Amino acid sequence: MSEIVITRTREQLKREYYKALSRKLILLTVCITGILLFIGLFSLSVFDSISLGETYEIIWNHIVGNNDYEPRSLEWWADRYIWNRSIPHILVAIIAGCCLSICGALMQSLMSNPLADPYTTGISSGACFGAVTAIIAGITFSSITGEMGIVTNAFIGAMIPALIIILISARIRMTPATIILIGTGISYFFNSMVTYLMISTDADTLKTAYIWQVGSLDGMTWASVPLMFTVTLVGSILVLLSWRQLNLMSLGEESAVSLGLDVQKFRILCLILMSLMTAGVVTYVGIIGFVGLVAPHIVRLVIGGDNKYVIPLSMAVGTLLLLFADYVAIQFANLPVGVVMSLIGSPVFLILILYNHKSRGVLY
Amino acid sequence: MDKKTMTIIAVVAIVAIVIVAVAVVSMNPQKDTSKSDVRYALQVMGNADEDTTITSKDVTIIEEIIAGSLSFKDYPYADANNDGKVDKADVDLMKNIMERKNGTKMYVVNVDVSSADQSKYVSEVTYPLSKIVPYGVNIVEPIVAIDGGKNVAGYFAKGYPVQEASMMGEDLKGGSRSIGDAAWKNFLTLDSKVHVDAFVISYDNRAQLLDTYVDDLVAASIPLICYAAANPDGEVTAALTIGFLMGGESEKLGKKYADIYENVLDKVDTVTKKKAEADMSNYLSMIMYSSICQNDSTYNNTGAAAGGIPYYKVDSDFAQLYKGTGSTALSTVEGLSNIHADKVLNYRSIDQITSSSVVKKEIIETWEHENSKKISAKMLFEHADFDNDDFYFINNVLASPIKVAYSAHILYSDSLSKEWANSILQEFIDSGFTSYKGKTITENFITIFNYQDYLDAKA
Repeated sequence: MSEIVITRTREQLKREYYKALSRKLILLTVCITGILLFIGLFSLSVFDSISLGETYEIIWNHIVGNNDYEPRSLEWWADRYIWNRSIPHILVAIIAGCCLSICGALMQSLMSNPLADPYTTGISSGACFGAVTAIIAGITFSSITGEMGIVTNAFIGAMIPALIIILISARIRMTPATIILIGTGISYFFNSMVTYLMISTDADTLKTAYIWQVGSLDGMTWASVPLMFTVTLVGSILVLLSWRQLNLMSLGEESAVSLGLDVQKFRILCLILMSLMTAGVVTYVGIIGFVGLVAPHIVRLVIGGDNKYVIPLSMAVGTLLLLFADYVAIQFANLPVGVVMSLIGSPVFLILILYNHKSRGVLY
Repeated sequence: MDKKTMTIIAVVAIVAIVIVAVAVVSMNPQKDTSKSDVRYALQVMGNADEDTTITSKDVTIIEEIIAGSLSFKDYPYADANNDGKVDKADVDLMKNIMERKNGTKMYVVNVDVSSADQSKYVSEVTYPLSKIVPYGVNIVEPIVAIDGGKNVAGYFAKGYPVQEASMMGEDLKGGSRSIGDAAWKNFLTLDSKVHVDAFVISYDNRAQLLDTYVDDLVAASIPLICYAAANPDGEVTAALTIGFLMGGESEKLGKKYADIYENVLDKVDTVTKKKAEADMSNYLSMIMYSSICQNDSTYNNTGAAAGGIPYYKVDSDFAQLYKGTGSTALSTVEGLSNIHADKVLNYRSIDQITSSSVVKKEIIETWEHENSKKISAKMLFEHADFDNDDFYFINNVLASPIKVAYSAHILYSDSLSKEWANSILQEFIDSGFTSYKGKTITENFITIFNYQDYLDAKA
């Protein structure tokens, strides 16, 4: 009798395992296909009068050094545009998508809170304050001016909330609720400063500051890539290696402590890492919302909550989402990608909540 | 020798001396090598005397420099080919410039877009400019006025469609406050088809021309010409220089634009010179319905050109509070109650009107428009201690010479009547400026209006 029960359970487990595995593979395949499709068919197809085949020919010619086109011909401009604008633009979209979604997954596990995202600790408002100070008041925290002055200001501004949290953590015990409350307080403070600066400036400067605030991939060049890539690569490896600890954190603080994790130390280390990663991205692209919030939810809905898979698949889904939003932004009225991401992200988020509620009764 | 003979000899001797003197003088004419004292000048290298056009006088100065009788240091624009020295090559180039020979390389002095202090930059262009792409409302206005619309190969925004109706070329889809990658791609496609002669931009829009876009222009050797066109002197400089580079009717209109401006400045100067310092009017500049211009805002230049004293120079507390180049939106209805300026010059861009009913609508809308803090110019005026004739809206779309004339009328209405300011606008209409010709002041233009005009419109 007992043997039959064990056999059925094994088969059941096997089926569930393959089912879960196939879900992961399908999601991964969909994401990779989607990413390749967007890059290959849409993102590189930059000039109406140049076919996709010709675009690839231009790329190939550039790689092999056969790009001696007549200056100011369409091919010459296309070669220049694709290499100096399109490819960095795509790379930045991929890096930002990966970084924001991995930070979202990290924060949600760390805080055991489905509403957490990379901006929960006030990073976005700090970065925004830094950038807006440079754009509107012309004040930079360093001796660098111009576009790089904005970038430097945003990075330093983004790190201020992390620094405050670390300083406070030395004095009080940091629970998720404490971190979220501190983040909310910091956000309100910086937002009030940003609002003051924005209402006291002229329309043109206001627009520049506002576009930075909503997030845009316009004007990305190769200079934007190295810092973003480095912090995202190093940060992603460290987060991927921490999947076991993150799974423990998802169980709740008490369970994690009982299973031997130094929760306080781990949480602060993760917050520093996440702050550096997010600051590295928002510094260049501004505050692109919803990627870090929605991507991990989509992944959890499909494959469950194991961070070993949630983290890498969130990166894939986040990238796909951002590439899609970017394509829509370019095609329709050349909107900043942050606006489109919010337009897409909010209904997707609501649908996820309703779908999850229907199947499970609650979101978590 | 009798007295009569001596008198005849003396007269003959005097006549002979006079004839010889005249002959000597006419063989060695007194050369005019004086420099112009206008506040703006044709910004083309070779315009050695820095006036509003290139004439034989400029060639004379160059020859005198070569001969050593004048110093190159005193005439930096004498270096027509911009090679750092004045020699025969400059004279040869000047011949082509004087003849307005097609294909002549000319060197245009303009503002460096990457500089924060408007330092000078020299761009090489090929005469005449027949395919330009302008960016920025303030530079589009003078280009359109001097019949430059036909030479516009592409544009990024048409902010004021009636005013800019003559602007030809392809709509590149950019916005008036940003270019964006998609619009820039359209520009590149356009250039591949027509090879644009120059990209012309107003200095106040330089932030929208990202470094990467400037890199493209540099890589393709597309000349970038920039002027601080939000400033009246800069706008006139742009009209004069771009008109010269386009040639033909545009050159004539550019020169006319500058001449009218010069007349306005002379008239204002005549009036203000007679006044004691205490009688000079000070003014507060405002924009965007209810925002105060900061001390270094370019909008303060129009009032200054009209002979006024910017308010920050007479109120140190105000000067401390409003440092900067932008503007500050007022957030309370009492926002102007502590400001005791003689006059308020509130600049508002309104396109040319197409029917008289639009006038009332525009006046009411302008006075009642509320900013993000729910404050309107009407509220500010009603809570401040200004008379009707102390607070005016001025249409910012008008050419600078006209705006300066109306501003001068507001500041010194006892000496400069509205009829005089109207005559400047009428001169623009009569002179055939493209966006003005065939129009009438009353049917096509909103010029200035005050609170009484608002009440009349409401009634």
